[in-house]
Amino acid sequence: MLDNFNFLLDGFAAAFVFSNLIYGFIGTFLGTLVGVLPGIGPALAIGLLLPITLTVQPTQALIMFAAIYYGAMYGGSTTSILLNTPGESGSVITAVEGNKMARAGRAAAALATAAIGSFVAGTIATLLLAMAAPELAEIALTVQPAGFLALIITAFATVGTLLGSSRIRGILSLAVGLTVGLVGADLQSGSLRLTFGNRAAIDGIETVTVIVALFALGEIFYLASRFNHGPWQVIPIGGRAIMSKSDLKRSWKPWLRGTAIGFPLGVVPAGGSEVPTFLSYAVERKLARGKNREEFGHGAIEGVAGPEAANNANAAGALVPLLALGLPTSATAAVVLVAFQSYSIQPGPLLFMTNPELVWALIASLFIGNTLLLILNLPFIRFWVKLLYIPRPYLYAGIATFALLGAYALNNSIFDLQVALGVGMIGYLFRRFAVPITPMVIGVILGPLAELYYKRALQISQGDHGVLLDGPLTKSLYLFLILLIFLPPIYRRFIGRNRGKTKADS
Amino acid sequence: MNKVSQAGKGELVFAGALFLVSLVVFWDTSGLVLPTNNTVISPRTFPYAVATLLMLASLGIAWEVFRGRAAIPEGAGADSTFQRADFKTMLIILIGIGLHTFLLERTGYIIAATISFWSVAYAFGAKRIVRVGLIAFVFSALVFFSFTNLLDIQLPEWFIERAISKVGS
Repeated sequence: MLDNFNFLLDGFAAAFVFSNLIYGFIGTFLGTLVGVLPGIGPALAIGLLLPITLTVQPTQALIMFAAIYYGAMYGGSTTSILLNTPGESGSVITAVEGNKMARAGRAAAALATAAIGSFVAGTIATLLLAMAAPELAEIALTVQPAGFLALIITAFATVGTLLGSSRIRGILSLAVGLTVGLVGADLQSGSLRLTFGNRAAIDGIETVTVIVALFALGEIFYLASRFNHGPWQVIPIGGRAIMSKSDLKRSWKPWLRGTAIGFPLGVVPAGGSEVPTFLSYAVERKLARGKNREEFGHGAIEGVAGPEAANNANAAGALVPLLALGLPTSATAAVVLVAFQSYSIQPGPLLFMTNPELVWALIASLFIGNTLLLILNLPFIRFWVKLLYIPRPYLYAGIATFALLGAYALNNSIFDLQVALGVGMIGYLFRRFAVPITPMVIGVILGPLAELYYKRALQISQGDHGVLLDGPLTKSLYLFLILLIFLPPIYRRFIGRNRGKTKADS
Repeated sequence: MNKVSQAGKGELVFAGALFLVSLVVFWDTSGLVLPTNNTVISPRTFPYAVATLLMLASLGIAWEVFRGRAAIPEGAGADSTFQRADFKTMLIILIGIGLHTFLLERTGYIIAATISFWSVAYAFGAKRIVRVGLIAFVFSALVFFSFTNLLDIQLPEWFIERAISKVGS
């Protein structure tokens, strides 16, 4: 534990150089800039900004990247509060109460509690990450391929079945992702799968292309298909982005509770940020007393503070399995993984041994990025809000331009653009038929990895499938899976009841 | 069994298309040339598993639709009436992006990006088409030069890009 602390200090020493801090500022600025744009959630914001980090040094890239990450997260909540268009599932709850607060003339307080709550949650969660990830990585070193396969299948099941309106649609999304992941040469035998004679497809489908196309082009197609010509309504902020004493008094406990709910649910892949933010909301609602309770559904500050903190802590929690096991469990974590790979860093248990200075520089960068964000955003909130006034035609045209650029520039490949167009159409169809998107992203990334571990496990056992169930880890994971399949009807009923309540109140 | 609504029919087509994709994966996998050296694990096992999952999931969706549980589109309420998709707006954007893809390595980045920017802006209701075209051109040129000069990212160029950079220098 003391070692980790020393490593962290070294990480700070590496990160705290003036030129690095400049990159941090640029990252925060760009991350917020892109994250504020309506319809762009953190995963897409990071995906779109990835080309920019590719030309700088690894440490600087990591700092810039961490800053982009937090900036994009925060930018998303601004849009939810002022425009009621959450860019990703984690901000849905923020939009519920935050937008109501804004309509009641309390936009400034809502934005402030979101910003400070994100900061508090981000700092605590990063600290927990710094303590948990190395320990988990150490344990993970002993895990056999069969164990990893079981972990991945668990991630598939949680992400696939807990998101979206129905389990079957989540599974469908996952299956489509796995199919996309099949394209290209099989790593071991070199057999070409689903390439249909196209040489450009041999290397497989680029993950960033899939993410950018699914989120950006899919959204644009979908909005176009339901286009109405009216302008949207941005709610002006009255006063400065500060909170009154009573706001602060009502916020600090929800921040801490939100962190406590969000972080563990990020570590144990529980299917993205929808569940923790919702749980935090339900808890705050239950704990609220008297007049505050009546405010729920009409703009209660606890309903912004708690879920915002839960969302941020959840995102940091998701970095634990990502760094320690190399397993992304949310769309955002998936983009982070791709970013690491583009800096030639392979997250996983070995990373802490082979490249400790990089990991700790990253963790230190997360602290710094989070702090920079608070410094940069509270005073400049008015500037960010101006972005919401960009006319929609230009906004979408700009997003499309950057999405196409991002899809092409990674490999300078027209094939990637064609893929983007196709995947964009899939993104449209998914939105149209209420199929969640994250499971597909997870499928594209983890599918090939699942196959790799499957083959490794069988090679070790000389083809004996019994190995897949060997050991306490695999057994308990599969047991958990069985529970997961049979318990949700009860769980869903609970969530469904609460959701019904929220609907009735709003 | 309920009567399938119009929205449900669309979803059946969607599920049917994915069912066909799963068949294609089966067919493609069965045609894989196996390596001659004796590997323990066939490269076919995993694709077969994926195809089976996709097939079952698409059948599951069809089953949901037949039971009257067609999807409610994102952002629409459960009680909102079925809204026919605005295919014209979509088509304009599709053509714009298609042209972008086709022209990018033929006529350079600026022309390709101008066309896609213009088509998206026009589809979303920008009225003054000449002004939009100018904005699209300036925006594309700005993106081109900031990415190639500041970030060292190579983008395809044609005479327009070369002419502008000559004038600039």
